[in-house]
Amino acid sequence: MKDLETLAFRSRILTILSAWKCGSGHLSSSLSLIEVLVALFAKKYSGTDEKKVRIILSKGHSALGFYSVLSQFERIDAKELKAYNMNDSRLGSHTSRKSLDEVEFSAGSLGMGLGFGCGLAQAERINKTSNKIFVILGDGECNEGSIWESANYAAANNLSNLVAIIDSNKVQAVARATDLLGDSTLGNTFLSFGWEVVEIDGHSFKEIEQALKINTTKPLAILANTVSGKSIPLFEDQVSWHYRNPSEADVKAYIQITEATKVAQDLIDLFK
Amino acid sequence: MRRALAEFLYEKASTDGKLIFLTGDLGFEVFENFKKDFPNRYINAGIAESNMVATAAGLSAAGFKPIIYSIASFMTSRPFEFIKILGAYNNFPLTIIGAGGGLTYSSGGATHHALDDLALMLMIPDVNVFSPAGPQELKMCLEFAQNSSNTSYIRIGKFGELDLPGINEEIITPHQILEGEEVAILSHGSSSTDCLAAAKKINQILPQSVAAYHFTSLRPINNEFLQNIFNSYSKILVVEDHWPIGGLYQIVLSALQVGNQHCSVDRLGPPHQFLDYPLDNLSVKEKFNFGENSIILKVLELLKRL
Repeated sequence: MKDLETLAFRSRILTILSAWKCGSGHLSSSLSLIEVLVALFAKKYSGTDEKKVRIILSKGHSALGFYSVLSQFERIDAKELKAYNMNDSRLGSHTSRKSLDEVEFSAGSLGMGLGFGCGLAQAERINKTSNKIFVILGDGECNEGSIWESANYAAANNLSNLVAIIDSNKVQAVARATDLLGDSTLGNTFLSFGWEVVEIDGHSFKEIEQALKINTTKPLAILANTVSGKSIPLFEDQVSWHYRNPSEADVKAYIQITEATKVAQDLIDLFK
Repeated sequence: MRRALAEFLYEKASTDGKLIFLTGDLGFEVFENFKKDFPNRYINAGIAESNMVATAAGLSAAGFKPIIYSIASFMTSRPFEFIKILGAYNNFPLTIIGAGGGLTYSSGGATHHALDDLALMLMIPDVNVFSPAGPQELKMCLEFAQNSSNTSYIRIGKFGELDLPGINEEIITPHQILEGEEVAILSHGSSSTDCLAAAKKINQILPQSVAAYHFTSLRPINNEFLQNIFNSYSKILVVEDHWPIGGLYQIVLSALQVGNQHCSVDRLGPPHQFLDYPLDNLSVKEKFNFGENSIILKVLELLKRL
């Protein structure tokens, strides 16, 4: 198994190559999430029991990033990313549990995953098992009222095996998160709902892994500060790139600047 | 019928370790025994229907068989998308109970009226939809629902309902609750009780003139049986406590078209509008002409005896 940084780097290349080849947007929201996904899957597949870590991608539009990371953990063939979102591909623009076992629920409508996670967490409680449920939320997704119904419920029921990871990349579909609904103090909001909250650099494996190890008596919110479109200076932190796709020139420049050929020649060759 | 639900929960919980009950903070003093003896399986999810459905879906995904409960209007409208996406699209089977279907809570105003609940649930592919009239029938629906691989919606009344005669476990086949030859009344839920009473009175004076059929299930329906009803009667009267769109009336009209049949179809039920006056249930049925007396008058008109 390659080291986490390499896995993340390769996942990013694959995400960008696929977005260039196949189009269909949401590139930035995939790129911001790569390290978190890599760290979670590493945790899931590191032990003997995969069920100990359940990963719920509530922000289903980060599907491309999700698939890229899955391929680096050899759950799917990287080749499949050439057909992302194409007709009859099983890799659709939003994750579907009918296509992949690793997808816990078919997402695409925001605000549902946290409640779903509450149910899974509660089942663990009743069965007296101690598997952890990780729900990945977008910061824009936290506009949805249902998120707060679920947050309230989780705290009231002491669902301490429920962890929400918020990909706080500050960009939503047509606006910056802070311009839309004020200063996005999500950490404070989760805190006031009775959650434990920790804020991290969402691109630092050291900080992510530390956060994933935390045990609490309350549900835990990991506010991961990330950069939308991370790693592409052109893309980073721009609302317009939420939906745009890279051109061939963008991809070539990226490969050159990052010296991607050193670590991901095989992936680049796939898309020639 | 809520007592029947509470009994079902209690009996089942002892043998089925997967049964779990969630309520949206409703059911005052109805589920006390269940709550006391099975505290692990009773969840008051609070007045948060969307989260309740999502949490139930998570429990379903984990192998439990959730039964979720609220007042029909709140149970189906507010969390509609969650039922659609998690209960149906994702196929995490749930049993959803809407209490106080139709105008059961007439005096509560339009917010408490469930005149679209059946339409909403029928709109979602693969969801079973039931409207039992009495307690034993409800238990049959619950049994079906809990064994189904699809999500089910069961509309119930409040309390005090009696079982109709002639209901058997073949709940997807409409039950003939009265024999007759010229007019067939088709109904479901509490309306069937009114229809039976009205039809019996008519048959006393004009023997064998009107038949009554009660639909426990609106989906799935034994279509062959339904087409046979159309074959056997030239006049159909649909009576239901639901708006004219998307309920039994619309099912009947569609089935007639599909089967290329030629009966006349009349409907009695609330008009397609918001009813916002404090009126008790009997009075609202009087006012909008779908109570027992109105059914009698309508059938006599159809029999050309008026």
